[in-house]
Amino acid sequence: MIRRTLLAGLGAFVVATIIAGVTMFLLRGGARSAETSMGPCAEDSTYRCIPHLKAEDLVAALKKRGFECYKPGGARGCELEIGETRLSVGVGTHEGGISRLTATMGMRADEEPSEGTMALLRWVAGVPFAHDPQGAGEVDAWLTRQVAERKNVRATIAGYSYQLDSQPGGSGRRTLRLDIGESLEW
Amino acid sequence: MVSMKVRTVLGVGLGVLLGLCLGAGVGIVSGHTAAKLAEPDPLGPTALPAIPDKVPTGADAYVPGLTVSLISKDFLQRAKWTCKTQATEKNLSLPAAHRTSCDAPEGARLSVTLWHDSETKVKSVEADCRYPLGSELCRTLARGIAELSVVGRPDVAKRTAAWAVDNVDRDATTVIGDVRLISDLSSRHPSMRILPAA
Repeated sequence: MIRRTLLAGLGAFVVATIIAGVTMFLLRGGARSAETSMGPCAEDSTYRCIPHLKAEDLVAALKKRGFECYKPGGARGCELEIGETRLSVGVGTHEGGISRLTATMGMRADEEPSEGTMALLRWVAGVPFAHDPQGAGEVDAWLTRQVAERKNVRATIAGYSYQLDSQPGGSGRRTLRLDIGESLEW
Repeated sequence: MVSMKVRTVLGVGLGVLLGLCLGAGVGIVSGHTAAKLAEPDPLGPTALPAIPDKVPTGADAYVPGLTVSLISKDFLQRAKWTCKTQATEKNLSLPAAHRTSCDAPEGARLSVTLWHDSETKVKSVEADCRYPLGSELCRTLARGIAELSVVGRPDVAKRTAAWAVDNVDRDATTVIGDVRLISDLSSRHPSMRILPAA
């Protein structure tokens, strides 16, 4: 009788282990393939950041280039004013990582962005795709097209949201702004 | 006999129940762990992309090659203008750390203002001419400033001078070489400004 009890228990144990294990594995997402997207800002962080990069390094790179950098509240940022053109890069940060990137360019409303302005805008846009020339090329083509058409648009590129706006700023000026964050679309 | 059967059923039932509970526990923990281990790292950059050469640098915030004394001493003081340099109030967020203002001699209503961070870092040059539109004085001053602000590139200087002469009497702007010229009548007299172009 004890043998029967043990056998029945063992059978139930094996069946329950398999069913619960497989269910849990599938519920947690199972075996996915890696995708370009944001990841946790630090181990076990609930905030999402561009993988591996540090906000401090991005700020340091711009500072080295002669931008003036500052630290308002939780965000970081760098600026450079060239005559009538104002170039500004903002970095949203959590646990040292980069959770958001913005590029804000102030210029004359009746002119297209200069070569230098576009170079900075494209560099910022390409930061999440530095590991992926094909993805970087897609972002670049999208950006160039949208800037030329002066559209206010939003696009999801890989796991990122890209938003581009051109806003009139008064006195014959306008602001071109690119905002990169995590895409919340699935 | 009967009690034997009941005990068997009870025993087997208890075994099944215990097995189910233990099995579910082990299954949940191992399934969770396996899923976590199988979860891939998101793909992303391992380093920042290099900043391309075309992205402006701090040096681009100044009129290339221009020095304060080239305008104030070599050009204006030789023509008997008087110039004075003042440090600007830091917290007013003015265009630069210093301002040099030059006035023409003998009450002529002409002035030139330079904003600069140092002798070699000039952010802007502005020539104001308080005479009516079309006056030759204004044209000459605008031309001189536009020509002098482009240092060491005679071909470009020729073009900036020509543009200044053509546009001194109207609102206009252009970029020639790497400087921006702005002719502005909003203060009711001709004003010509030279700034670095981005």
